[in-house]
Amino acid sequence: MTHTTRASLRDSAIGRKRTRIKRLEIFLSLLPVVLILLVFRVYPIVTALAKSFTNWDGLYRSDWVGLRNYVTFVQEGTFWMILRNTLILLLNVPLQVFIGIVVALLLYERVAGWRIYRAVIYTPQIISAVIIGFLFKIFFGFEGPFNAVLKAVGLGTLAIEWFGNSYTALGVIVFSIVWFSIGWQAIVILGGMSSIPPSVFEAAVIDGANYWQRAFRIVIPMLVRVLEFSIIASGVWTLTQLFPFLFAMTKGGPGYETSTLDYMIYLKSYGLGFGRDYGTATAVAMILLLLVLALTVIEMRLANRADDWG
Amino acid sequence: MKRLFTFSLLLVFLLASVAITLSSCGGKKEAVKLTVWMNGADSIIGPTEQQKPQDQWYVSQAFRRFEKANPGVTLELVVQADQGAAHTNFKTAGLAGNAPDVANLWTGQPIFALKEVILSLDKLVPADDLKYIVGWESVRDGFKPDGTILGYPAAQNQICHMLYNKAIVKKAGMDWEANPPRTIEEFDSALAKIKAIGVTPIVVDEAAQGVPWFFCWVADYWWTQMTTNDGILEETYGRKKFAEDKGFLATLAYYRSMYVKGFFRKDLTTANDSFTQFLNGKGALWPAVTSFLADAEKSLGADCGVLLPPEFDPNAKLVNSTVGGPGQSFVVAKNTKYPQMAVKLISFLNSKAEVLAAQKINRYPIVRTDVTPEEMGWVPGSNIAKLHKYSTTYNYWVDNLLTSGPAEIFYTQTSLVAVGKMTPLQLAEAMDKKAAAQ
Repeated sequence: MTHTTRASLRDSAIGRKRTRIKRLEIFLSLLPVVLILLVFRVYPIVTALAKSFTNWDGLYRSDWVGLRNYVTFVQEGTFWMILRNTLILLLNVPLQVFIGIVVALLLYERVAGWRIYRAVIYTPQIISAVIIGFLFKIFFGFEGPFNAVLKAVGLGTLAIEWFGNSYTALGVIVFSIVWFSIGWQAIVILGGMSSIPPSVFEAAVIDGANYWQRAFRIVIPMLVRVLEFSIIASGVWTLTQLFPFLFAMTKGGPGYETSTLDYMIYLKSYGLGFGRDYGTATAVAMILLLLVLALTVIEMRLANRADDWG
Repeated sequence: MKRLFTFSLLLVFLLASVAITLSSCGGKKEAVKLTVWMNGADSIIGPTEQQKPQDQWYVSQAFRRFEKANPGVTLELVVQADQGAAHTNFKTAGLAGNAPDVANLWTGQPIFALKEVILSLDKLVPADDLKYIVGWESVRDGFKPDGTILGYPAAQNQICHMLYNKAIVKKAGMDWEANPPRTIEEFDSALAKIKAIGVTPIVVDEAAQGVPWFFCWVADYWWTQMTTNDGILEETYGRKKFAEDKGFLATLAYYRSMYVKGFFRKDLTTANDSFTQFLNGKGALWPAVTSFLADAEKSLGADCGVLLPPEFDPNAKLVNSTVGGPGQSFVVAKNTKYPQMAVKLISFLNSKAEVLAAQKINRYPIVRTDVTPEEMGWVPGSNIAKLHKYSTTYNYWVDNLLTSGPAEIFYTQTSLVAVGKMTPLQLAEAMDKKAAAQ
């Protein structure tokens, strides 16, 4: 064996050892996060998935019932209404993103009084969602201020029972969510805009680009990843975090006319009825999980395509 | 001398040790602490009591009396603001083995559904309590006369009725104290007269709190008049059909007709301020249980009257009655370490002396048969005395008969029938579907 060969073997042994050490480092670095994910994410999801195939009552009864919970829930007659409500409420996402961009651009360009606007626009975020829900319930109540104003200006025919009809009630809920969220959207987008060199905006202004052209030709194309984050975050939030708004404003009613999938999880688990149908509640949670995953994948693919165009 | 001194010292030390040991063994009793969950409304905590400091509440004072009578026992009061959630919380705590020793829950199906975590009281209830307290059927498993006793009926008896504003009724040309409407036709005609003077006849929040209050407190009486509680139980267990229950369908149809005729406030499915409106004279009637009487009398004074539901079918077996009874119970958790003491506490709260003491703070028709209205200090002909007449002739809560599936539909969708978004038959069929799936 030549000296070169020996040296080469030694080097390769050292290389393998280094690779092993590197792998061990990676493994040990990831281990805490993986363990946390396994315990706090994977285990509950797998348990919920398993429970969704049982008649679990939250206590001792947990017999295998196959797909019965899913089939019964879908066949209940209210499923499609609940799914429709859930999807209608997602309309708040494009609305809040659009208004968020408009507001962020105004703040970025430091219009007169921008400091006050920045503080005011974020205020709803620090108010409890339950309080916001109650405020909107009172404001849009049949005998509330909104209808009083309509009547005062001679539009009494428009003074309807806003929460008495599925579509108008959902419209009010969407409005309240947008009102609540535009501050957050504006701050997120404003944060993204700080990564765009000011010279780009200055050049656009010199070239005669107006406000809307700057919004649609500069901000949106250059902030695809930020918008992707805000759309996914808002979408997931809409699908899973609307409970306090619904509870305060409509309690999912009248009937199930403003109930959503996440509200149904509550109703099946804790609603009046005393049976505590946790089996069905977990089945609804699984359906919601699938919906969240599907919408996230679709949105990410669209964002990737948009980024490619950019 | 030295030996004697040493011996004496040892003897004193020995005697002192024995004395200390004996005193620590025999003199000190084991400390007993009971945790008690109490509903914050419609319970022995009255609605107006909560405006006072907690130590001035009747229940706090009763607890101090019990502690004084039972040295070594301490009671911890935990108020449950959300009664519906209290059931789930109790169940969850029971599963974990740390449920409160005593809990104030609803009678009927709500506690039947929790029997895995509730202690059977069959061998613990004193004979006198069984003799003098009414409403045991509401806490016996399955409503069977020999069913396991899952709890005590709570000390107050809730009698369903309608509170009404005498001034408005008088303005409409009627006097319900002398001549109350007793049939559906008379009731219809009376409500029409109230509407004619520009006042909403009945103000009610029929869905805002997830319960159709008018139906549960008034119309349920009409339903059970025609179907009977046994018939409703057959339906909820899936042995008969709600959709074939003529009494149920007729009651729902009348309920719908009341809305069409403008007898209810227009926004009854979304309103949540009806009691305030009633107290402010914006409505003539408000469906109620006894716990609201004190507040109404305080606001309306002599203009506050009570009206019992008219008879839907004057030829029915059940007449001159109303829905009610002890809607609340006291149960003992299976995991309690002190079952005897827990039952002793509940028995104490239901005792004649405590019932009389409670009446000084809250006024309720009671569940004891050995207390007269005179002992309670009720003026003959007063609203409370009128309601007390039904203390032993009430018809047990219909909605508490419903099992979870049909109950879910009943609570969430009955108001939709009133506003015409659902037909009576559709509601009944939906309840049947749930009953069949149980």
